[in-house]
Amino acid sequence: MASRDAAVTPPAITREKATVVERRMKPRKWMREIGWRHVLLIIFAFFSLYPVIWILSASFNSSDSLATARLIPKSLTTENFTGLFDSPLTPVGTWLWNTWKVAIIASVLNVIVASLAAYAFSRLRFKGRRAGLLTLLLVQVFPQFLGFIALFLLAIQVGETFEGFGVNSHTFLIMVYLGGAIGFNAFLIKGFMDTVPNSLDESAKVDGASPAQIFFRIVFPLARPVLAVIFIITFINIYSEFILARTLIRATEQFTLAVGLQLFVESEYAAKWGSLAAAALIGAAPIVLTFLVAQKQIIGGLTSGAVKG
Amino acid sequence: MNRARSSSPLSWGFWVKIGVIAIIDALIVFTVPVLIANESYLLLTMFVGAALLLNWAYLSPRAEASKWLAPGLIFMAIFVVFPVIYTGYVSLTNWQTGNVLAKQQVIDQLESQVIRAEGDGVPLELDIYRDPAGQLAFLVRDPEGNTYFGIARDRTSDPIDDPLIDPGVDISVESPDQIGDFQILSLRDLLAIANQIENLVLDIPGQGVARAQSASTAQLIQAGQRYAYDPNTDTLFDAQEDVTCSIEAGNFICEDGRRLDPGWVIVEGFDNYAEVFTNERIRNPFVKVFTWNLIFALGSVFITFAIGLALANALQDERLRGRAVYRSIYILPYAIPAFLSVLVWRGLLNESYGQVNNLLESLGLNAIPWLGDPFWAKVAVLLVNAWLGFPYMFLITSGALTAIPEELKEAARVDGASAWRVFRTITLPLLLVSTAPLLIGSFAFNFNNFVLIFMLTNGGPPVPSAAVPLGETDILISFTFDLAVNAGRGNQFALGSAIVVMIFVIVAVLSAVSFRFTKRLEEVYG
Repeated sequence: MASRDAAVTPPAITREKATVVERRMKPRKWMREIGWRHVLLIIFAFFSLYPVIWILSASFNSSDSLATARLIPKSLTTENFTGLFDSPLTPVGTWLWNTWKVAIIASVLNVIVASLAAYAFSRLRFKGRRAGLLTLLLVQVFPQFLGFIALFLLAIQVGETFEGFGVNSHTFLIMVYLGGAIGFNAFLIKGFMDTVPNSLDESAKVDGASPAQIFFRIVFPLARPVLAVIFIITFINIYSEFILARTLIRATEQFTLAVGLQLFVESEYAAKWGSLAAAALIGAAPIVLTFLVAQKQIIGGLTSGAVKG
Repeated sequence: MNRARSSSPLSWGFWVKIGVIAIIDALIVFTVPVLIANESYLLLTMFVGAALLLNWAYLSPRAEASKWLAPGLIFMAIFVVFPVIYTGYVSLTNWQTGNVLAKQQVIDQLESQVIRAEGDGVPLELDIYRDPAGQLAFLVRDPEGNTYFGIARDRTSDPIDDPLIDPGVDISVESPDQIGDFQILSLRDLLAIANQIENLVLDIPGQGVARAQSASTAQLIQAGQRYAYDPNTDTLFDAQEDVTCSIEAGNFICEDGRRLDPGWVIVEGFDNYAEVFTNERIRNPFVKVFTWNLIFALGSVFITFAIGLALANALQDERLRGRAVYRSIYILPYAIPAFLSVLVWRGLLNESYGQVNNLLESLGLNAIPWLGDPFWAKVAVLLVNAWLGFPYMFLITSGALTAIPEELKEAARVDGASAWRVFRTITLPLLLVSTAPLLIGSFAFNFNNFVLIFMLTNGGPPVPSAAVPLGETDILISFTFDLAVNAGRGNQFALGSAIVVMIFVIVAVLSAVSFRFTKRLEEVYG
């Protein structure tokens, strides 16, 4: 997991020192050594911020339409936000609730199930352990969403026998997501558990603790920070997942945010620009805030293998 | 915390475990008959397999590790491993709209069809009656003088039980004005219901259906089972057309050339793969999509890597002011869920109202048809993906750059190498080595970047002449999605699965290559 450490930010230099050095230079030398950097950096800072600025501006602009949008709105309003929650055709509030519900349940269960498996791989020695680990590694090579046709056909068959648990069912979707990230997460958690010294559970074992007690009283509490990060990453991935949700959920009331907004955009884009921006802001804010708060941990986890979706 | 308590069969944990397993087993026992009745053998296998594994894992005293692994194993097996295998299976079948049922279901459905002969029936005389409640009745007389009287129904409704009524009087020659409560309809009454007369029928048990043709004539149509399946010859006999229909690739094909719908699912072997490579209607779109898919994925990796590296390099100088600010700004696109930013970009790139074109116009440039033109749509896709992807590359190259020993570069500089040369001969090669697996990962990710394509252009603009739903910016996964799930022209599950299997192979090869760069395998064998 070399890349994980590699992605951590390089040692920062204190701001005062940088300022002093920069100011002391002669203009031409400054331009040649520092200035061009600022030019490049500012151009891409603008590129980076461009859609963000528009989301902020449009979501508070009192004219909803794309045609009349302007960077500095003539008048501000919160109607774009309140309007999201009372339109029966595009119930963004319901979609948000669905997304949070599915993502939280699936990622909590996922972290629990994955850490159980990780514990077995890290602490127990059993027949087929190596083969099991290798299988885990090979299985996670195939992104789950590529199975969308098979999962769709499975959902149809489940729905034929158990009405309400097939297509359109959040239960089915949650189980799909739960299964999807187990391999990857179990591997990450196992990697962490391997770093927890074995002497801790050895001494507990001497005191007569069962594997279950060692897990719940020693390993699990120690792993909590790592599990929290893995929970957040899993949550973000499920929150943004699109192709499986689009395949398996067909009823407006059951949509996740991604599926709902995509169809919303498909139908009435230009006229509802402000509403879309407001929905995007509500949808993105919690994720962006989490990202900024736990930046180092999340990026470390993400860059250690997966590419965020 | 003593051994006796934790392993005693009388501890509360033991009873909870037994209770949970009992509930799961009860549920399984309850569902098994339902699944058998529905002939859902796939689900049956899954349920029983999962139940056996759970029982063994939690009841056998020797299965310590499987207690920990069982839940994860079950979910992974069903929702990750199974879809891969099932996709492979579906790709070998003819599974598509029109061929989704099992053979027996198709036979049952066909055998339930009745003969509908038009024009060949026995002509009948007809008189129409009505009772005070408005109920209509038919009196029909065939050429041989057989007469029937009974309650008529709309021909689309279900047959009435015992429709015939004993008139109580002789009706074999003359139709009386009154039969029981029923009154014969006058010409005026007949005119009033003229438009519904032809939809009325009288069921004559054992004879067929008398269907009104006008106010005074009807036709006796013999109703009977149209198709009969003969298990000995595995053929279907069509009693109406008097032809035999034999099986051909999951459908009954009759001697007169008709192909009966629906068909059923059969295993065809590698026909779908052959189709992709030989049938021009599929091959040409496939080649087009695949080519663009490669260009798109390679281009995206290259562009994002170049931007990320340039920024990381520019930020490397420690004398720079505002490094932390720049860094936070560059992480923003990475932090926003991609589906939201892509949808916003779609608005910004709108040809008539979009802010990007407004910006271009205010700079004195022409508006660009970003999403409507084949070329510009591709540029738009790459542009938006540059925005989405450069922060990731920025992060990994920043990390990798700091890991390159300064002495190496210093030594080259002392030898008189220019900054560019140092970068090209020392920094870049070292960087590529350390980030190679991540670059391959990024390629694999972009190769299947469904969210971007589907949400930004929906694969469009459409290719007008294509035989299958096809867009200029479609990549394999979005092309497959339209083919199999989103289809306006039917669901091509089997063909779609064949393409997915090809994507699987590509992903597997990429991963095999990237494994060589990583130390993950050491974690298994170490």
